[in-house]
Amino acid sequence: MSEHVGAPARSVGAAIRAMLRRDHWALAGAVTIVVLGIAAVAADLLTAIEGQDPYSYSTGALNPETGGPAGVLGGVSGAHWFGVEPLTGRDLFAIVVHGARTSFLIGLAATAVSVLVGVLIGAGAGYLGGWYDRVVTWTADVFLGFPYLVFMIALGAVVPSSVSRPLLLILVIGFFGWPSIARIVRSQVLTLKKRNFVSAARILGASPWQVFRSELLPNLWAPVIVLGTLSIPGKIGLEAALSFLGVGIPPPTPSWGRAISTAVDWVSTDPMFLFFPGVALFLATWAFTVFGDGLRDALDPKTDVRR
Amino acid sequence: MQAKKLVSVVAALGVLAACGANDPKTTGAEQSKAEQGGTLRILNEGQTLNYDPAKSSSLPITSLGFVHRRLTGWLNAEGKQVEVVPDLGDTGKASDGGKTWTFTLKEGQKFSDGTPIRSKDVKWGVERTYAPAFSGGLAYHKQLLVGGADYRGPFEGKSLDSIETPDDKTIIFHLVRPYGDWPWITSTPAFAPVPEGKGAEADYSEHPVASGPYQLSEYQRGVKATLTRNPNWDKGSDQIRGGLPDQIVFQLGQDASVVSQRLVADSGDDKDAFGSSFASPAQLAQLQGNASAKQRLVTSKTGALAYLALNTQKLTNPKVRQAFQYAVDKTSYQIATAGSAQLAGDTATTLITQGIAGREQFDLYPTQPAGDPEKAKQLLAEGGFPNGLENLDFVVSKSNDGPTKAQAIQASLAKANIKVNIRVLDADAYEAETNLAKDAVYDLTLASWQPDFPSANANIQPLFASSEIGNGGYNTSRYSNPEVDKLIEAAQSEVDPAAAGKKWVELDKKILADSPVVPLIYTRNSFLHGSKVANFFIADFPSYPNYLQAGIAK
Repeated sequence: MSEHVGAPARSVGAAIRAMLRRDHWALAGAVTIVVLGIAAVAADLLTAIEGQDPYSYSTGALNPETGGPAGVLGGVSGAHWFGVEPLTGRDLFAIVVHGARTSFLIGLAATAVSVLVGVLIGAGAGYLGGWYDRVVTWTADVFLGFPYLVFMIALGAVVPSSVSRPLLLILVIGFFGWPSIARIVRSQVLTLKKRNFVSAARILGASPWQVFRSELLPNLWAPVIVLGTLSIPGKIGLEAALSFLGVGIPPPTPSWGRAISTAVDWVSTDPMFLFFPGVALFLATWAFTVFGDGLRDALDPKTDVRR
Repeated sequence: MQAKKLVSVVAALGVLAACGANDPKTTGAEQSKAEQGGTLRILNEGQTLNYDPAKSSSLPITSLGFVHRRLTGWLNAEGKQVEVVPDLGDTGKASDGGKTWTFTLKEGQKFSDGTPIRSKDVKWGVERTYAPAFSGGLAYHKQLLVGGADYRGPFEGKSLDSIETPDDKTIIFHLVRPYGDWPWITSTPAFAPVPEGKGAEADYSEHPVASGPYQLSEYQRGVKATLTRNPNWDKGSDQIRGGLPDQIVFQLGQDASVVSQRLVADSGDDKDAFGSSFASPAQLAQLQGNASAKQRLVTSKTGALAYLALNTQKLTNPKVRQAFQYAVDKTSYQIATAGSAQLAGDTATTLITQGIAGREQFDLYPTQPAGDPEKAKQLLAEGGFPNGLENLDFVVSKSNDGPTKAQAIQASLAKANIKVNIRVLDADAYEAETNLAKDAVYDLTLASWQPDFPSANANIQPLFASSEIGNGGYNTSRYSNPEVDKLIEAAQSEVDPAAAGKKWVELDKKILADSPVVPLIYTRNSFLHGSKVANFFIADFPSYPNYLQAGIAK
């Protein structure tokens, strides 16, 4: 660990930069996120360079005896960088990078939904108090103990297929993430509202919304960013779990969870089919977790309130 | 060529039993004979096992046959055409040009409770199938018996007068029209006897009165069902059941891949077991590297017709429907089904399945098996869609690898500018939408059809008669052509099999010219069994193993 201790951070951005210089694990996480992020954004370009796409069947790349990939290591070759999918001959590299797009889109968008809902509800509960606070706290407790995976599976089966699945997943996964954020934000607001600058604003006649926007929110960014980042891997994992169970992203849109689900049956004959999407999912969740940990160390909300 | 090789592998199982192989690993099961005694275990994916004949669509040679005998039965063996043979009764005599059928029951038959089986009990069993509470079984007889159209079962106090039982041994059926295949119809589960007056309770399937070699002694939904010997079964009068094992245990609710792992490992009780569901492509690929397990794999020569149904109510232009015949890549479908053409089955071009008497091989849309997207585009343009079709709704069932197969079709249609959206449904929801719904919203669906008896009649009528649209019928292409309906009725009425065969082939061509379905493959089924299960075979028809002849080797 570096002995260097930077000047007290002036802003969230500066704090993150300082943290990345200090914490090598968090830096590794950040680099992995960037690499996977680029793969997700430039998926079409990357697969075009490879000369493949995630939808075209290529039965020529399969072993005619078994339907598994022809060649060693699941058919890894210059034409198919990660080999091919059994029974279809679709390019596994294309599936993995397009799957990254699916995972990131849903993981990040769902996090945005939970942060938005969680901050609004939590800040309201902490600032307004009274019966509203009690209802929010009670509801959050119920939601935290709710068997949400079962609920999501049921919902996936009930909601008509005319509703866009990615949108449904974002809303459902995002919605179930609000209680943990709301609870932290609420406790943060409870301490903040006793501070003089908040009292001053209130005495000067600021409405709750104005207090929230100009006094509370700037002090909530740090814990919210930490919590949000730390909840992304859980949400990516949840999307993968739902796709694994067959109620997530519908085929043929690539998804890591669905690829892993199919690959489980093939693990004894074609382990590479499980390896590549499995590693991609592992890297994505690991990267967001270590990066989030680094952020928490840098922006610990319990010790530092910034103006 | 490849197909032939496969067939010889299947046949080898029988041959090995007699001659003995060189491989030391196979000294156990394959070479020994099925003997009396032991426990046969059947690993079942389903949570339930239905032993109510009224609600059953079980083949005469599988699980229901252990417990219930029927008026007629099937005798099948490797390399022989399946025959309809006497079971409880004889195979019937037609009179009145095929409109009246008279059957005589064998002497001295008893139920498991010791009471004699009378013709009245067979009649009661058939009448029960008309009760709304006991629907869901095979229903070929329901419209054919006079008065059947508005009969509502015996529990409302009325009997069906078109079934006469002048004495305890004789039963006479009066049909609305001549029907040459009637002795095959009497081999469906509806013609299993139920003691007159019994079976009013909904859970009759859990304590049925047995007429076959076994009775249901224990049933735990989702766990297991145990069959023990029926002391009143008369082996001498039964030529279709071996009745070899002392006990049969169904393990229910087993995960398919776990079943396959257990059977591959072949240890302990699993040596006496076989799996009742098809081996999946991943399992088949795994078996290629395991010589011992590969030898315990039984694959049918042919089987159900897998087809892509085109909803003719929505895709109304025959030109457009014909484009699908060229657009579909049948080879990628084969690979998606079983990993290789050899294990999946031959590509199909006719509606009548292989092995059915009178079948004629033809191809109205000759092209390479991988399809011809250019020709498809050209037909679409002629049909008024030069830019292809967009957003077609393609509904598939989640079960039986449906989504994987659907993706293979989706990818090949895309090459011909036909863009489809796959909609995956659970088995029940799928049935509600394709078979039960009056109006269908889907454009395409994947289906598979194994005839319920070996006659072209059972290939064509259930799928293309306009009476079979909705209400539980299987006409999923919603094909309605009055001329075809008339020809179906004419072919059904033909009592001479050769003449009937010609009429069915004509219908096969006539229907395919309208292109309501794209025939994909004649699906082979593969099953895996333990090393001590002997005499486990799949004959030419049906493409399922004969449960009733299997036994345990010592």
